[in-house]
Amino acid sequence: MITLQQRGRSGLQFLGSLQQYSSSVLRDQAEADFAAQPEAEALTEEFKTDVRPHVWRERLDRARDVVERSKAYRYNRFYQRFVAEQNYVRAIPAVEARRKQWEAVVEAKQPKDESRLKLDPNLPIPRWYEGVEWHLEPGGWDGYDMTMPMFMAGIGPYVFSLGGYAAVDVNCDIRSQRKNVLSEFRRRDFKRIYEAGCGGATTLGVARQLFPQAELVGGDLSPALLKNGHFVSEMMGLGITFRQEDAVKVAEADNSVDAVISYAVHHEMPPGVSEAMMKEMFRILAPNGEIIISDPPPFRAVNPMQAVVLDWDTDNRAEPFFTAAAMASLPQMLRDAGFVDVEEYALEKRGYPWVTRGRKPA
Amino acid sequence: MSRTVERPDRPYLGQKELDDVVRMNTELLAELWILRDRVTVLEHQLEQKQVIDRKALSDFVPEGELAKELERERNALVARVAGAPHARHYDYATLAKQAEIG
Repeated sequence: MITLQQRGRSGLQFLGSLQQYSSSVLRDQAEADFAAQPEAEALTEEFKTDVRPHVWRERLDRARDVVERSKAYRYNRFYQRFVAEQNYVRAIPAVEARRKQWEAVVEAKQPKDESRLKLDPNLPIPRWYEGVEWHLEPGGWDGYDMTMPMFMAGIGPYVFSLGGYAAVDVNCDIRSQRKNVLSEFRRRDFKRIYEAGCGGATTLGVARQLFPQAELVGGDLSPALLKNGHFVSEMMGLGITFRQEDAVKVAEADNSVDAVISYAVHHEMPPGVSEAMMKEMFRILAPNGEIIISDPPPFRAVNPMQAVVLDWDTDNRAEPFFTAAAMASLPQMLRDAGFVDVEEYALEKRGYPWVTRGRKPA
Repeated sequence: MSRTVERPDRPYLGQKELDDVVRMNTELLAELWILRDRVTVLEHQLEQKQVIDRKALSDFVPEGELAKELERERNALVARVAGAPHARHYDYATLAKQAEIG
């Protein structure tokens, strides 16, 4: 793996420190400021009681007006946006300075076996997905050919690994969170596991540790992320199969997989697409098969301050469906699709990771 | 809802101009850290090669011409930065003097 030059490394480390400060000191102060407001108690009660979807927009706007009285909150949001942009503003020149070294790594380690990567250049790209620059990454997932070193050598270790953005709390390890989520599967004897919207090999790589014998398959719309995942998988001997496909229509036969994973996907898609995806996952799961979903918590599961923070991503971090997803009910969608034993709960503080799980009847 | 990297219209700190100033300040803070990181790395490497002694560098007290040079540059920096909002005009004589201190 490559390392960055001093300017790139220290610039990204600065962003990590700024994000940590913002999401600990400023965030804690903002929460104390909110709690001291006269409306705080009533708002908190209101968030717990009436959870019908249509009430949320007006309620969130009212809560935001109260939360924004805090100077610490306003600076917290300013720095969150600043870091979210600067991740790319600083990381892209830093990895460009290493382009030749990276290209040499790719050439030397290029997977010889391409059978586990299935791209579909004719796949129709849904309108809701097209043109979104997710998380403020210019050009979106497929906009930059150096995405892998940008995350692996830059933004990943120096910023994201420290937590403190979107639903991820500060100082949380997003890798161990994945392991904790997958440990919530009730069974351990799966022969075939499918991940919908896998991106790269991050979650399936963790699945490989927990289910060493299982056949692992991941589907995603982004060819760049799938190629990256395939590269990592082949280099590390994970043996994952990657397919470019839409999660609402996947190339699996009925009743063909034992478990389905969906990690941090639903808040990036409209609820209607989530519903269609649940039905598709129900179709491919074998009887008694399990599904585990991990996504940011719904508004009804968090306090008003955290709800305002989650809502913020929709307008400020190029995640256009975050709010709509947090208003929806994933357990209801699972039940409507036919799943049973449906449960939802948080694994750590501030409601994240939020787990929703269910089972296809035997 | 935002779909691109375009900045939202709504200011974060209540006023667009204030956002701009704090943004500049935060950029400068980043540059300051990058420079401090660089100096620390530089000192470390020079010490490894036995060119300098970091403790001696910290304990060193400038005297004579070096002390005067630092004083001139320090005063000029303070005047430029602290004086920036107050400077209502400029003239040839004042600007020419800056050539002496670089």
